[in-house]
Amino acid sequence: MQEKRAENIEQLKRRLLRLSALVEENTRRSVIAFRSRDRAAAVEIIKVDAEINELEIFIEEDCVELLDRTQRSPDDTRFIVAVLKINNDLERIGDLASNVARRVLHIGQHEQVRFPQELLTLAEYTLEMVTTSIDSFVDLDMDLARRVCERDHEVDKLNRLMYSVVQERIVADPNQAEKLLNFLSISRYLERIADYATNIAEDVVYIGEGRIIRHQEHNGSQPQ
Amino acid sequence: MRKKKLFWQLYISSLLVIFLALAAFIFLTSYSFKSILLDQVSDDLLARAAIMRDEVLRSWKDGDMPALQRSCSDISTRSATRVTVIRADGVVLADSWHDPAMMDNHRGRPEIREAMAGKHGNSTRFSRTLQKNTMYAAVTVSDNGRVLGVLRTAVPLETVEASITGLQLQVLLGGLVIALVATLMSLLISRRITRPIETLKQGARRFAEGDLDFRLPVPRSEELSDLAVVMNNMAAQLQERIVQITQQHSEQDAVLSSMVEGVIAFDMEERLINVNHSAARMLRVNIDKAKGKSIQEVVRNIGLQRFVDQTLTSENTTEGYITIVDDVERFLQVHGSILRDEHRKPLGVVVVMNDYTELRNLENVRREFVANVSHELKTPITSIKGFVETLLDGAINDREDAIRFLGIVSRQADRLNAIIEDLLSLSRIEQGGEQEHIELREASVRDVLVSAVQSCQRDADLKQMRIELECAAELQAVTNPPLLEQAVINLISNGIKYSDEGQSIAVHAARSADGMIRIAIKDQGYGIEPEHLPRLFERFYRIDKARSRKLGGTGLGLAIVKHIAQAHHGRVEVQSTPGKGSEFTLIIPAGKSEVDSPDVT
Repeated sequence: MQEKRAENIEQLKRRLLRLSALVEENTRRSVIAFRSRDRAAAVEIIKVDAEINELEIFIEEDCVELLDRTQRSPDDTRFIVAVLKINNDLERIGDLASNVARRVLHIGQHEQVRFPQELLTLAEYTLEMVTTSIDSFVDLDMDLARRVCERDHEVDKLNRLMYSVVQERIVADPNQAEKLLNFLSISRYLERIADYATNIAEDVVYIGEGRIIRHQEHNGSQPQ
Repeated sequence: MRKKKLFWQLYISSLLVIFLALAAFIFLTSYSFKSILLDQVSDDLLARAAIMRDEVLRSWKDGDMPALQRSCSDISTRSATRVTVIRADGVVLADSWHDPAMMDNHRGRPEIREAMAGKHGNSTRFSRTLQKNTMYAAVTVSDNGRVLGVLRTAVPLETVEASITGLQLQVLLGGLVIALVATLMSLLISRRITRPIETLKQGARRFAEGDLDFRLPVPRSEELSDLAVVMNNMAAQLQERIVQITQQHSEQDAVLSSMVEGVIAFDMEERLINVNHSAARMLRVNIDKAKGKSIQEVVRNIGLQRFVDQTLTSENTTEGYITIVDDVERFLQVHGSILRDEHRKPLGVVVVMNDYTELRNLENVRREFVANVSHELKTPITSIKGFVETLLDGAINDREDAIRFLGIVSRQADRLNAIIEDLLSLSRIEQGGEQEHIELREASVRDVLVSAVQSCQRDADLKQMRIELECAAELQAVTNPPLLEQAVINLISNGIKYSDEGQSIAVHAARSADGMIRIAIKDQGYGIEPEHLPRLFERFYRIDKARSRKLGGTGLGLAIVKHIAQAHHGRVEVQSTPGKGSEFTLIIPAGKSEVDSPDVT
């Protein structure tokens, strides 16, 4: 799609934002698709993921090229390194969004099953975190970035809650076990998307303050 | 190069002029004073010599040298002048301050030579005899035309020189005082000249800072006052121009922001130039923060990003569709064109966005309706056709079968008729409602309700159901009674259809605080699941298709109710709990006058 290499930090940032637009949109679509059990949309989402992967590789090559140049300020180096990481995180979010879409293809058949409220809330929080983390990158807004990190605790909590909710419902109606387990998968995918959003926010803090806040205060937020 | 201040330039040059003039003045005055003074002294010496001449001549003619010497000394003491008498051959005969015998021949002295030549002898030089700077004057002493010698008078210039120095000192002192005064004066003058310029400068700075209400004080000098007036005019014009531009800008802004369509513009570098409120709302852009940022930062929508790219590389206007994914998906139709300046140089791109989500949804409803209506019509027709063909194939000969089949055909024809009847009335109401053809007048609500209840009574009796009516007789509504009656009948008969035997239906009408009549029809029937409620009033929307058809519904009843409510400038609402029953409420405007009539039954 793009033929030219990014020549400077500005162009690199724009290109990464392009990827983030694609990823954010696809993540949103995946949530809408599972809420409305839209199989057609799910198929579309899986298709777009290929494009995301392509763009990720492209940006990575841009970064390598820029790092190869001799003249660079330490700030620029830090920025490029952060872009490399965010790029990777975005691609992973894209993968997980298409995983959610694949689950939609399964739950599509079971119309009568109601979604647990916890899952809907978790989805909402996750989308908010993805959007906010990218927002924080656009403006290099440290406060926004920190808010994303804080939100992650709640998502983790909701995800843990989902296990007991699903367990209860399986006990109540063992026939629905398969459909309910789909919810559990979706919940886990979304929780991991939230983790990657948190990583992005941490990288933003790294760009802004040159300080690595990963592995501090919040543990268990790292994707395995 | 460092710029010099005008004040210093003026001040220093005037000081220079003053000091040069003063120096020249001092030099000239002291020089001319000196020469005048010396002239005076020499004239004086000559005059004295002339006065003494006779006395000297007398002693000389007598040949009395001691007497000559005496008289010389005598005159000298009286006039503080040195007197010397010299014979024509240069021998000094007498001298008032010296012994003549000790003095050498004076013939070579300039004043003597001049005097002997017949002129006034005059000379200023250092006297070896007196060891002082001395001025000499000499006149000839002659007796009846025969020159005997020369009478010389001399004064040391000591005193003269002292007075010249004193004079020069005074002049210098005066000059210094004048210089001091002149320095102060030129300081004041320079300041007077430069101060209005300074004021102008400060005024100009205020203009530059945008304070265009400020007016410069007009200085007294012509050039500067012209300048001030011109600058004031300039400020006034500038202000006017700015007001104009601001107004144009706010007009454009008003036009842009009142547009339903979203408008967003980017420059060639894909940085945001402008965005109106609609576009900001559609794309969730923070207008205050977004200006000047790149499209990738401002609009995280891949569709729009690509569309702008495409428009920037194309020469013509472009058209496309993009979707925005918020909580729901929204569909935008986008038109892009290149912005150009007056030289046709491209400046950027402007995109106009039209949200056609509603339209798209409406289109879906229409498509579904066509599909549904075809299906609804097709079902009875298929049935009729099937039974008629069976009859034609020979079933007509079996009388019992034939009657049974014709019964089915008749029922299906009735059903077809009912659907078409409903469709026709629906379209009548719709058209009438759109074109305001439906005649509305004030009428009693109770009359309408009573008549509707009567129409449904037979069906209710069949299921042993009771219909309770509660309505004040004086209630008036702006209504079309036959239509309102049909809407109420539809709602009551729905209630009867979806209730179990023996249950009751309550019809209750009252006037609410906001001047509307609320007619509520409440049943105790099966109720409706919440997810069906939003689409309940769509044509052919059915919760349970099989059951509805079995009960003889056309799928249009509630759609008709909705349209009747709209034709009354009202609306219909529904509340329902599955298993407990539903309540439909028609809300239409009340009449202006409440008829104060007694209860009529």
